[in-house]
Amino acid sequence: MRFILMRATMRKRGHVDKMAALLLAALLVAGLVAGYLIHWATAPSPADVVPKSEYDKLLKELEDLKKQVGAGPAPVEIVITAWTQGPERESVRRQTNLVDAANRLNQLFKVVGVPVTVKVEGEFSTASWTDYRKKLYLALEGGTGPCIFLSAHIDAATLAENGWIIPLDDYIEKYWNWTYYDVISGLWSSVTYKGKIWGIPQDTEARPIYYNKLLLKRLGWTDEMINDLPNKVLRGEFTLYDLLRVAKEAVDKGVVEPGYGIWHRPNAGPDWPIIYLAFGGELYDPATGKLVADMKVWKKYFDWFYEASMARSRVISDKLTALDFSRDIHPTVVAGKVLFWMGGIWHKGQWVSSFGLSEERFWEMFGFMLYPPGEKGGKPVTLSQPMAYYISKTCKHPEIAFLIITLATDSYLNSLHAVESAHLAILYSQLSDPTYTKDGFLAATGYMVEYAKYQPLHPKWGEYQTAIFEVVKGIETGAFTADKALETFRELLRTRLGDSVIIRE
Amino acid sequence: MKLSREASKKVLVLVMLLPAAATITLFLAFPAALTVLISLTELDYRFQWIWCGVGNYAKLFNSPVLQFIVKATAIYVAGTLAFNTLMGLVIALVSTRVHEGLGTFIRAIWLLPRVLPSVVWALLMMWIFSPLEHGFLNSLIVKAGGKPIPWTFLYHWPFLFIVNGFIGSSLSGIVFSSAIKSIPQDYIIAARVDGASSFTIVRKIILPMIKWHIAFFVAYNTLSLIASFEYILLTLNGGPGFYSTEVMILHAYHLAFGQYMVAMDFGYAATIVTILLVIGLVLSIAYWRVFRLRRLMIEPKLE
Repeated sequence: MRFILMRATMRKRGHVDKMAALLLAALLVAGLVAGYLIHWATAPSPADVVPKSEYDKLLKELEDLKKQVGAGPAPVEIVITAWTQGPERESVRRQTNLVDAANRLNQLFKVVGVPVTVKVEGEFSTASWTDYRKKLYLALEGGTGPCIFLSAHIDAATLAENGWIIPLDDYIEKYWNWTYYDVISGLWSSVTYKGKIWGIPQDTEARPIYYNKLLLKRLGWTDEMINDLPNKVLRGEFTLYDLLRVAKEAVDKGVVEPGYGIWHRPNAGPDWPIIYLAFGGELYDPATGKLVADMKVWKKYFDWFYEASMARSRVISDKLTALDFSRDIHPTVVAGKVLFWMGGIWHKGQWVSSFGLSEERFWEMFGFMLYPPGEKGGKPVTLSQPMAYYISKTCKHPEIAFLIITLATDSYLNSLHAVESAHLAILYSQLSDPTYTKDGFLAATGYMVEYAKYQPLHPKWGEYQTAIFEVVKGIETGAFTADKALETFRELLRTRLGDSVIIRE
Repeated sequence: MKLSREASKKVLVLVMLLPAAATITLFLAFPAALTVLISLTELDYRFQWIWCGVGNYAKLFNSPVLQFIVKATAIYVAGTLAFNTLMGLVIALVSTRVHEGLGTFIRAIWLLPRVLPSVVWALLMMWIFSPLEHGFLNSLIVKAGGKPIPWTFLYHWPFLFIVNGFIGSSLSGIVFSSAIKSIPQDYIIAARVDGASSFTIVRKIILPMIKWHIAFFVAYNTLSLIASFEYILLTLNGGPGFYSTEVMILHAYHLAFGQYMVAMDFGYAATIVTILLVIGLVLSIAYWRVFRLRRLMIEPKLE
């Protein structure tokens, strides 16, 4: 009896369950239909987002491309190899922005019906520039180089001379209205060599002199004086010799240890000619396309370094060139032991993310200024070395590679890179992009670009650069006086550069 | 046609010599000849053979750095060679004097720098002798209340002798100690019975009996040191200062691979390598004569 009752209730319950399930299913279907109807009624048609004319234009622009990839019915996957370089790991967006751009390109292709998916493969290198270039150049020469690669703008000369890269003028013209109208116009000259554009600017920077506010205070400077220093430099009232004098005072009064007055990079690099430029020197003769060494200015340059050396004012340590950036230099500067640091704006990014300096502490401790002029009333100066994306000659799909670079040249993506790695903007629209403008440091250093000079684009510039560094190293370690340095420098230029350099006596 | 016995013997000798001759030609003579040829060109990263005659040699002999790199090479080779040989002798003498197991242990310990990856070894040594306060030695000195000493700065040559020598002397140590062990014990026991001191035994018995090994090691080590730059590159990289430890082969490396922006002057760099090749050949012949190494190679007059 009990058993029958139980079965009856179960049957009843089963009946109820079935009903509920049916109702639920009906509700679901109704919901789906309603949802779809609502979506259909409210969703903007594609034509609302992109004007029909724009859409057609896009289609037309990509028409060639469709033909190029020989669009069959099955989608083709195209792999674009890309190599980029830091060496600071904060600049990893040089690589990942390309990957993001490829994803955007894939969406775009989908919309306009280009049956292609694009994939970016390759690596971001944190090796030294010398190692990166070595690998890159040999790969390019061997025909196994990447499709897209990043290098400094000065490489354009060598890369173009060797026929390793393609000129981009036609593509830039074709896709001008995509993003290139927005590129800060001065940057184009940095990637122009022999009348053609060879690279797309990726970022730029300025190389300021950081000064330690806390140490200046201990030297008796008021807040007002400290904060006015960059302006004094701008007005040409504070010269390189004033810099030396302040540093010497700090050493003499024991505010910093001997040799810790002014520090500079420990190896060869783009910074070396800045002081030559501050004394009014020229590096390149556009008429002949040769490098220039003005020996009168180089004499002033070596005089200044000799005066700063341990033999004279004891401002620049003789050990400096034997030190390592990450192991010795950044930790020492961040620890507040150095009065003036001839750095780059990206160092701030490195200090904050890798060397344990907090944002507040940075502003408390450091100010930054242009390189003062060599003489009173002169113009201050700095140096910019924009990075650029290049496309190699062996790239099978140059237009697709170019489109990836084009989409990576985007206000938002590039601002992320700029803020994370402390580099300056390349697009006008970034200057009002909230991602970019919220960074006070970039806003405060932006003006420096106006005073920035570029290194010359010449295949022998590397040898010139190396020679400057070697001779300065000789002065600082006590091997040379200023005159001996000048003599050695002249000989080095003569033997290594031959007739690529005009030596002006 | 049947070959005469004499002729077939000759053919057999030729066939037997072929593998060695081919290897030597392919891997030694050919690269050497190629280096000489490259030194006559302006070959760079573009790999274009632009012939320039002896232009590169003229450039080198006019170069302001030539005197520095020659001096550095002489100091480096002589100093490291002396360190390697003397240290090897000390290790050999000590490790054969003490208990057998302990001796093996000493030699094994001494092999550690050699089995470490060179980059790790270089980093370790740079840390120990760092000129700054955070270096290992300096941090000890500072803790003891002293002033830090700029080791790699003031004593860059001794530093390099140590960095290289700790590796080089493990080889000489092993060669010398096995040579010492092969000296019949009778001589030493007899000397001892006659009342000879340890010093006399070393001077009158051991050293004369292992002189061939020492001669071989000196000859071999000189030649390898002339072409060695790995540890200088990894530690001081030619510095501190203006070419103070830039040996010739390191300068060749820098010209070929190490300049800022990668100039890659292969032609000019090959000039230095060619000169080193000539120096190496001359030294080989000199050692062959001076040490009379031929006598080492001839068959013993009686077994």
